[in-house]
Amino acid sequence: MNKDISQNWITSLKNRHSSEISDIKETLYLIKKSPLTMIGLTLILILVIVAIFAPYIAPHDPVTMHLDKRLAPPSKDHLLGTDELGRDILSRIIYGAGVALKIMLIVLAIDLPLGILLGLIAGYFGGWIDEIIMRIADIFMAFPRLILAMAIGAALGPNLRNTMIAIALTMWPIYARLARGETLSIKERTFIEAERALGTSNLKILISNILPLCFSTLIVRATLDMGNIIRIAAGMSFLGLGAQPPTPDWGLMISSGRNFLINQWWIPTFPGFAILLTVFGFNLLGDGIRDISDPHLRRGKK
Amino acid sequence: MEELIKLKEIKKYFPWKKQKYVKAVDGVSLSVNKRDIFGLVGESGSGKTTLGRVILRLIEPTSGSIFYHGEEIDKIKKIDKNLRKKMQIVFQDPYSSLHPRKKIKDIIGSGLRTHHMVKNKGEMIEKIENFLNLVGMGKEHLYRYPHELSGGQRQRIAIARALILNPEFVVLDEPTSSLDVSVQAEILNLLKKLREELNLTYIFITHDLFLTRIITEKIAIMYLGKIMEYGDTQRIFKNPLHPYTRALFSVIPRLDAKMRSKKIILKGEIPSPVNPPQGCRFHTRCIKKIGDICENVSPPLKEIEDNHFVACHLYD
Amino acid sequence: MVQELLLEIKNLEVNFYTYRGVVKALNGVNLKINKGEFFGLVGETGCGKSVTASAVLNLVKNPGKIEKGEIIFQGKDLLKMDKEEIRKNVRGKDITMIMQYPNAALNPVVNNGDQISEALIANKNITEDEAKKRTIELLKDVNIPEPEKIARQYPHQLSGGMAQRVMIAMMLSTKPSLLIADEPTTALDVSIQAQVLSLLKELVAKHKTTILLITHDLSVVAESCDRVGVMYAGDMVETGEVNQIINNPKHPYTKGLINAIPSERSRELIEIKGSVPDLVEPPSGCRFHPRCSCVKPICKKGKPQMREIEKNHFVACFLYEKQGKA
Repeated sequence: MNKDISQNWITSLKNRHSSEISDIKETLYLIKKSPLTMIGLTLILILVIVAIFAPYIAPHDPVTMHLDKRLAPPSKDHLLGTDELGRDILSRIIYGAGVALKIMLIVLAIDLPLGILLGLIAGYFGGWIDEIIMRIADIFMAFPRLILAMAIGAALGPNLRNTMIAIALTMWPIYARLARGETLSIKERTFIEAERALGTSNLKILISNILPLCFSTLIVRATLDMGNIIRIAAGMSFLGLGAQPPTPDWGLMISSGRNFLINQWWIPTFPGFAILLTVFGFNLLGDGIRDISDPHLRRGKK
Repeated sequence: MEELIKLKEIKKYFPWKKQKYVKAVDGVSLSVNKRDIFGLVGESGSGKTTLGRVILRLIEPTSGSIFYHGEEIDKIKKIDKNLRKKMQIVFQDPYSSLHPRKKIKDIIGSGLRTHHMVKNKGEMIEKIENFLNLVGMGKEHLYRYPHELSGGQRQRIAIARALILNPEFVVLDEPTSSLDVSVQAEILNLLKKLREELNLTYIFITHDLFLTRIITEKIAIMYLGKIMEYGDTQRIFKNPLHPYTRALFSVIPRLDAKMRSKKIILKGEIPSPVNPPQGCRFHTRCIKKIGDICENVSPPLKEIEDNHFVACHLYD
Repeated sequence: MVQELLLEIKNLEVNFYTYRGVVKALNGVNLKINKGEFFGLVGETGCGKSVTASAVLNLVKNPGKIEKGEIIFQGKDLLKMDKEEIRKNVRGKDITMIMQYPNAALNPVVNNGDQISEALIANKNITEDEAKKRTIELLKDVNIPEPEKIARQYPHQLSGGMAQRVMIAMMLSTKPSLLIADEPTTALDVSIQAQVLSLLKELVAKHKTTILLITHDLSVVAESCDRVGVMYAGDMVETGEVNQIINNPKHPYTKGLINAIPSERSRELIEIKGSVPDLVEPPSGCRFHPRCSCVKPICKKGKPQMREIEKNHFVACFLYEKQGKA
């Protein structure tokens, strides 16, 4: 009896969500059709898995120093060699994945909500609210990103947390602009006029009708920006403003390893590759998502 | 016949570039009785679409008065929710009038929630199912997205969305222009049926003259923001008085060669509504132009026969 | 009057390979157009009329594929011709096309006169001056007032009707044998539509250009065309002279269409029950059978062939199987 009830419930659930299910199926089909997107997706999945399971995957502890084994080239025991303090580079890269991911996610966790909120309000209401928000955004965007991040980071004090805040502050205007642009075009569309004719409040129109349509552009941009975030964070670490030793941060590894580039090339090079592959993966994935979200590609959209 | 809506000298000017205005609606007065199917007919630039929205106060009039059940409603600062319920609209393009990422049940149910017309989710689903039925669609569509439906089906959803609020009148803005001809017949017959069943009043905006003759009972023929001819549909078709109306009737394509008369091909293009001609709006293209009076004085609407008004100096 | 065949389409089949499946867009379409004719191809969305036009111009692109058939133009099968040959000598020269939105086809940064002159120079190796002179002549031919002024203007300064006329001028500059007009007046106001249609009729009469007009509006066809082809869901269901189709329609779909449109005849609109089929899984046999009030068992089994039931009037319907010859 219970089995019947749960079967019925599953069937009715499937019926009610059959549209979403076929949408997801179509998305997966389109992803599979694009080899580059698959590569990007794979790289990012690897990144995420490595980050989550770092304690189980890493052969050694990332911070323990073995001063007797300093500057050792790649070997069976240390597949990527050891650095100037005898720490296993492979393990540091593995743990570094988590650090990188944390930076990217926290920056976006600040920027996306902030940018969307300000962009929606500016775009929908226009007038002086729009002017104020956009002028403030202009001020932030007037500075080259790295310089601004450095200035804010230095002012707040050099550590990882402040780096993330600094990067977030340099990037929110992009999302605000994007959200505003989307809002400006969406609010003219007939279904929004229809909601007004029904008596729907402005707040509800913004949140239930306009916001969901901004997502895909913003997610694409966020994905493509992941690479930028890592780059700037690495740059900040490189200059001593970001992660502090002994944190296994890829940028920091390059920075402290740059003196050894000639004779112990493995010290800065492998972290560099890690950044390269991560940025590459996110770029491919972002491009892929953008193409897939394109309504012209999807069936049924006229 | 109770008068439902009355418009007095409604004007809507849209600001355009420096100091100029698009005079979309330039002094329109008309009245719609309860249970009328009133047609607003015209070509592009006539102002019929703008007027439709001004009646609902989706767009605010620049000047003039709107009376609803005898009460002036244009002066109220923000149109109140209860009034919104009473007047609804169905848009022309079913492909853009439904939110692409919302399910049908949420699209139709939106108004129910806003106006607190149902107590719980169960009641809402039931009511939506009833209206889906009313517009000829099954409840399997509740959980679908608009892109899974055809144009005709989407338009039915749009109609359900408007009618579920139990309005008194509905503005139908070219509701079938974007649909295939065979689907058009279905939707129009549905609208006629619903008018009977739900005691509705329609304001039917269209550019299709033969459609107007089949569907509407009273019409206003608009040109560049003003009404040229106004009154009982059949009378106007039998005896078109305004030169513009006559020209229009002569050029609509007909199936039967015998029914075609000599075409009055209007010279030139429709003038820009930013700089409409002075006096009678139509004088620049009118073959029956009298002279100076047409260029300087805008003719008022005059009743020539019972329920048949014309704005033309030929009938002064 | 001897009718010379200009274009003959035989058994054209076109499929579109999409995510949802194979859309069988054209199901063996047959069509004959004579030289100097004004031919109207009528049908609703999805009937395949635009795909037919694309096929003639060899513009059927991925995911569409021409599966089989022949398109014989001036004696040569276009489907067997080298694609380069078609691009260079046929498309844009001997067969040209105007579309619903002329502004989409006109280059917004080139003035109107130059667009036409450039096309002339590219095609005919004449001097710039000659091209400019010919351009003004062409603009006069399409009844554009003040052609010199219009030639200096840009497409965005033109109204819909004028832009369409500039398009027509451009497409006539190469003196094509066939002009395909795909819904040229659908986006225009009635009064402007009348102007453009009368212009097209004039051109057929004056220059003996053959015109293939594609539209969903049967009344437009009634006013301007000599012969008509009615399409439904990828099939040609009826062809004939215009008065035959309008006053003596034989196919149930044609009859249904005439009753469903608002015309000077109608007092009410009569629906055709059902809806246009999904061409991924079209109905078996005659594709109209699920909606036909005269359906018989045989209609579900086989595809009806075109039969001539009176001179020049062909129908593909099992109701007329016994009458008429193939």
